[in-house]
Amino acid sequence: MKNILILSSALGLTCLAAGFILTQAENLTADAREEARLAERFAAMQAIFPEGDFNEHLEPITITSEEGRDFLFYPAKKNDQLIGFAAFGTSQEGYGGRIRTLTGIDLQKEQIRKVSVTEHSETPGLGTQVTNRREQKKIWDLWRQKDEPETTEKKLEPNRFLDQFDQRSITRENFRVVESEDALDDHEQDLVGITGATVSSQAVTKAVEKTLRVFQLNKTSILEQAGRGESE
Amino acid sequence: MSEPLRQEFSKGLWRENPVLVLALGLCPTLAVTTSMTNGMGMGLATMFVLFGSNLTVSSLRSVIPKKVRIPCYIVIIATFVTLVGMITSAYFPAIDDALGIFIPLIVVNCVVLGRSESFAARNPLGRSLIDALGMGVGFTVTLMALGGAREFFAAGTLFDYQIIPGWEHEFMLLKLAPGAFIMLGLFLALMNWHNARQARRQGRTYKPPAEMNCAHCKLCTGDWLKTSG
Repeated sequence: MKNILILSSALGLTCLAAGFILTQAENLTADAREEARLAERFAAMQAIFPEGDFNEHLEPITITSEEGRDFLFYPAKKNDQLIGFAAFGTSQEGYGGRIRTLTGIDLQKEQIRKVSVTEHSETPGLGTQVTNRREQKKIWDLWRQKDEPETTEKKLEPNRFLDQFDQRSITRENFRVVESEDALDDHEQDLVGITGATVSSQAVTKAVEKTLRVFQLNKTSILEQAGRGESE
Repeated sequence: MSEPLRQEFSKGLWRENPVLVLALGLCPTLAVTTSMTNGMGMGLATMFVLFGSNLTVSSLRSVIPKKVRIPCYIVIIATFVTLVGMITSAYFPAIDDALGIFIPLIVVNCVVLGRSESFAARNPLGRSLIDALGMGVGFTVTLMALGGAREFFAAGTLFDYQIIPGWEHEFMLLKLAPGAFIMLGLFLALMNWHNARQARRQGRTYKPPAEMNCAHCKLCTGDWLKTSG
């Protein structure tokens, strides 16, 4: 009996200490983590709208969908003219849970400009083929002299899957992920998924689809709120 | 470094290599070694956690009662993993970008628990730390070799740099799960063949280090409850 008490109190104390350390760390790092997340978000937005100005202190226009998920719309402006929105949407159906996507909505062309994934927990090497944009490097470029001048602007690296969203119409709301290029049927609607990352491909597509749907449903209210932000 | 200490470090690299000899941590090994970069990321993140958990377990080894030691180790390791995740995402966004996805996977890495149980819990602090470094380096190098081989034969690239010009279509088998098993099997066979040959030359038969590897470990069978204390 006494033994059980000693054992359980030892385990209890360990857990207590662990809990204490973790809550302290959580509190101490919460602000810094939020800041890092926002900085990352703005960097991703700036990469999609290099010419756009984003007001970093402005709260995004938030629309809550019927499932209770939040969609954030940051207005992108050029010379005080609204050119588009950087829209954040989420999907819970990723292989590792939640995926947050950033869709660049181009208002003038009524097209998707670029799609990026800003938060995910997909498997490295498989799901990340869908979510991460990666530079194409060649070994012989290491010795070749660099001709292009160094730019400070963050360039968007290519991604086989995400680049398929470029220039699609923003009124589309039913994309289809197919297995291979042979199965491509409708070039407006179909996307070729990545082998080994079908679930991630579908989750990203769903998040983008949902973002566009929320945008279309609430277009007047979003545009109105973006206009109000302008006059302030 | 004195001779025994140096051995404590170098055993992790070859003689008691965590993956190829002890067969520990195979789950993350198979899952993330799709490229050399990923192997290195996973290895470094694991080494960091291994160092922290060996440090804590070794310093607390006389305090923790034997019968509840495994749950205690798991709590300690999970705490370390969460702490590492929080700190990198708050203050080192560049590292978080590269290693962030590996950090949650370390909780399921039995290299960490295995070294806590079979080494740090029985050895003084200094030796435990050196053991953690050696095992960490051994794990990292093995994962890089495995990832490098898979990446090279799948796409002709290493560290994401294309080495063979004109390799356009990836040989997907090696990038996917079956390729991980095939490549790891080849590595293990090569290691066993080499060890057996060396042992034969010295006139003995090869035996893996006893009571160290996955087959001898009784953690997951629950036998540790009966045999200890």
